[in-house]
Amino acid sequence: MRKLDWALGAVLALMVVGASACGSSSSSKSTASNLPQKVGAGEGALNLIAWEGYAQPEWVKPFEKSSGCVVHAKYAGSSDEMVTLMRQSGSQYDMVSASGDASLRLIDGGDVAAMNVALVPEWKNFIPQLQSPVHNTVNGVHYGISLQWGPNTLLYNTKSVTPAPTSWAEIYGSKYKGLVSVPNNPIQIADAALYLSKTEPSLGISDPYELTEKQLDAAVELLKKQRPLIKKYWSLASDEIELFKSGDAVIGAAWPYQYSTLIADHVPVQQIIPSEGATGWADTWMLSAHAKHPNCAYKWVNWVSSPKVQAEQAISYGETPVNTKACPIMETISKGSCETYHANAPAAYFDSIKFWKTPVQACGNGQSDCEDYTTWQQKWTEVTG
Amino acid sequence: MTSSSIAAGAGAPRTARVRVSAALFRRPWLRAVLLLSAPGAWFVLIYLAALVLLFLSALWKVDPLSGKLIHSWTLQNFEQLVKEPVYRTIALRTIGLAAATTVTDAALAVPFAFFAVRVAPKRLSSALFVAVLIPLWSSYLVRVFAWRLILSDKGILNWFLSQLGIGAAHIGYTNWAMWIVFSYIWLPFMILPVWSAVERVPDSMIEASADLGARGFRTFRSVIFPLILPGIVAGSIFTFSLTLGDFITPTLVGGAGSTMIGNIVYNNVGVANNVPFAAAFAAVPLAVMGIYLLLAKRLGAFEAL
Amino acid sequence: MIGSSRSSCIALGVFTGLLLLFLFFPILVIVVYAFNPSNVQSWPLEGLSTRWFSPTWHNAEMRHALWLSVRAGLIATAIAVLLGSMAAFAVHRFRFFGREAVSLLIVLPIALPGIITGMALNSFISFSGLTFSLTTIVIGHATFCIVIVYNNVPFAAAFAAVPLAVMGIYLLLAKRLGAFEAL
Repeated sequence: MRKLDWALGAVLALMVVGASACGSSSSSKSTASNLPQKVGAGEGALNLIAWEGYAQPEWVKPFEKSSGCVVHAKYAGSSDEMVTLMRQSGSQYDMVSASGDASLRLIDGGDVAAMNVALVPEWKNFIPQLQSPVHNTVNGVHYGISLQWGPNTLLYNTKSVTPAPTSWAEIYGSKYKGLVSVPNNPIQIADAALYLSKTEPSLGISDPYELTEKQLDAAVELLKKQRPLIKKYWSLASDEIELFKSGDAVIGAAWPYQYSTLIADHVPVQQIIPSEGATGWADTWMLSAHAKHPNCAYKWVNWVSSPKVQAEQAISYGETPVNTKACPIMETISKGSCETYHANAPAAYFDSIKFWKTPVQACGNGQSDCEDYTTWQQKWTEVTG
Repeated sequence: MTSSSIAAGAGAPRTARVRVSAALFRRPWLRAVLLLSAPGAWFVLIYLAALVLLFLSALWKVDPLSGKLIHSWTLQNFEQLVKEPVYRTIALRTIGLAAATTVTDAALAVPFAFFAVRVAPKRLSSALFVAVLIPLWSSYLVRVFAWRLILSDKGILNWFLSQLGIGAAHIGYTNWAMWIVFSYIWLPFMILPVWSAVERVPDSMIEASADLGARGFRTFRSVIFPLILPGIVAGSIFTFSLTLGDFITPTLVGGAGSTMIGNIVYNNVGVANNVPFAAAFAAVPLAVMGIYLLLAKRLGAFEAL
Repeated sequence: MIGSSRSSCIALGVFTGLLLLFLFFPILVIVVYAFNPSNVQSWPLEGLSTRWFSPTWHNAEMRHALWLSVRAGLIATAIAVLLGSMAAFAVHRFRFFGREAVSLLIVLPIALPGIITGMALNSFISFSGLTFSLTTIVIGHATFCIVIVYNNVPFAAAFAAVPLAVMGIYLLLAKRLGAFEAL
């Protein structure tokens, strides 16, 4: 009798669990094709997928107070991770701070919705190159609002690395064997390609993201030669910060965020853009196609596009704001920061950075023999495996 | 209701309750089935269905640009696994590490179990049992992180070595570090079955062996070891399988060239969004464990679990 | 009998002591590092400080994560103890057709690498349109824990009694301190 009770009780429990699980399944409505014409009341919450350093309490807390939208940020370490998160659980997030090598994949996959730039008045003050860039604007339709941009830099420990480096060659040569760290990200192949475009011009690499099979193989060869020099490939920015702090790495490829954080913790580091140039990223806040809190999302975008928050974020992370009005505010927060973070740099600086974009087969030269990103991912596994 | 219970055996009213109870009493297998219905439903509907779906998807592929699953049958995932030497390297590295961890843990567990069961007095023995389990109460991540702190360049190990005058050992973020950490983390899982096995070795066997003239090591080799082998194999199922699929330890304490099967699988699910490929590669540890479990069953490990 | 000679007894004893040290050393390291005044993790420490305890406790995300872990653990344990005991009872008390197969099936979540279980459940949950939430976390953990309970029911039940007891004492103390009125 007792066993029967047990069995029945358990079956009931299962049914309850099952029913509650079924009850929470999301019904994904497709977003309306006509854009919202005004920003309504906040929904009380905002779920973001962001790069580390993009949702600091410094500007999140005032936002939460003024809008009533409580912010939950999920940090991702790479564009691939952001794309996958959006594809697998897109309905659980409202916005993603996608870089140029993720944005088109998200647009193609239908994971992000069009945004109405009229609802973001500060958009008019953005630098013209990032108001409607190809990586977030398709056929005149805006799929996000540009945020900030910056370079991938060479970071080194000033005490352990002497003389001060000037070239990427320092991380491809054996001088600092076992003390190097570079990102664990297939897009890193472009960095190797950029280096080769200057050191081996016979390969004919003009765009480090448009590589033929021969050019890709050369870049992969260089990376395979680099592998014995690497202590660890970093997946999250905080990994690299940890490596530099503990002395396990003294030189590597990094973002300005690592530099700012290490300096704040009194670790003697310096960052440079080496003579061969640098790859970089231009980020966009994109709205999820299944966003549950679109009004909070628009409020957030307006908040982070304002000159004050643009300045705060630029200085905190070490990147360049898109809002031209941010520069004077940056000077009041930290003198000389406008110059340091290139907020008032000429267009030539912008053009010198090779921004992340998704490698596709259609090469810019009119041909279609370039390798696509899937091949890049496979090659990267070969390098790091 | 005493009258009805006394009258039960003598033609009491056959209410539904009494009928079901009688049916269950006469058919023990029915009771078993009812007991099993809930866990059975859980396993078959959730776990087994998920596994079948997963390995079916190994035969599908993913569209590179949109990331959507294409339900057309193809062997391209397996072809890629076989074609690229890097996956063989990763698989062999993982299996090798799993084997090394298993051997290390067995070598550590047996003497410990011996002391705790046969030498230590009862009180100490119970205390040791609890002591082995306490690390399992603390978080896995926290313990792995502790090793990262110990083995890093400016960590405790190198400080200790420099005090002794020996140079720094750069084993942080290497495969050696992973071997140490894996052996450490899974040790309690090996100790428990070995402990039970040692407990079950009868004193009379050992005395008989001594009577027949065998000394310490000979007794161990010919009498004790075969008796505790099923326990060791049972423990090894855990150490082998847990190492085979792990991806957290390589991420935390592994360096360049420490990628394991778990990392590839995890990256393909969580980063590259290529679940079919991840499933294809996951078939490798599945096959390895399948063979291992068959061998383990032969060696009697399932009774020793 | 081996171990009957004093030297091998002592040797085994020393070995056991060293092994215990090996088992507990990393945990001690973490406890010590919690008092590290700087956030650079080098050794030796520059002193001891409790400065990190307050910010950690006041970190809302940390508290949210801790509470989520407690809930997931308690619910998964409850389900696992229930279902695992039922399964263990059925398999060990009764002889029925397919008993060996059931025994093998139940051991699978622990015999197969965890990444496979996790990945399978992940795909299954995405496929069935559920959102990833506390429910799915509990499903994943309960599946694994059923096996642990199944293998050793009295042991697992005793093990589970500890966190339940801890929670019970905690709730009692909280009531004494008037926490329930303040909720």
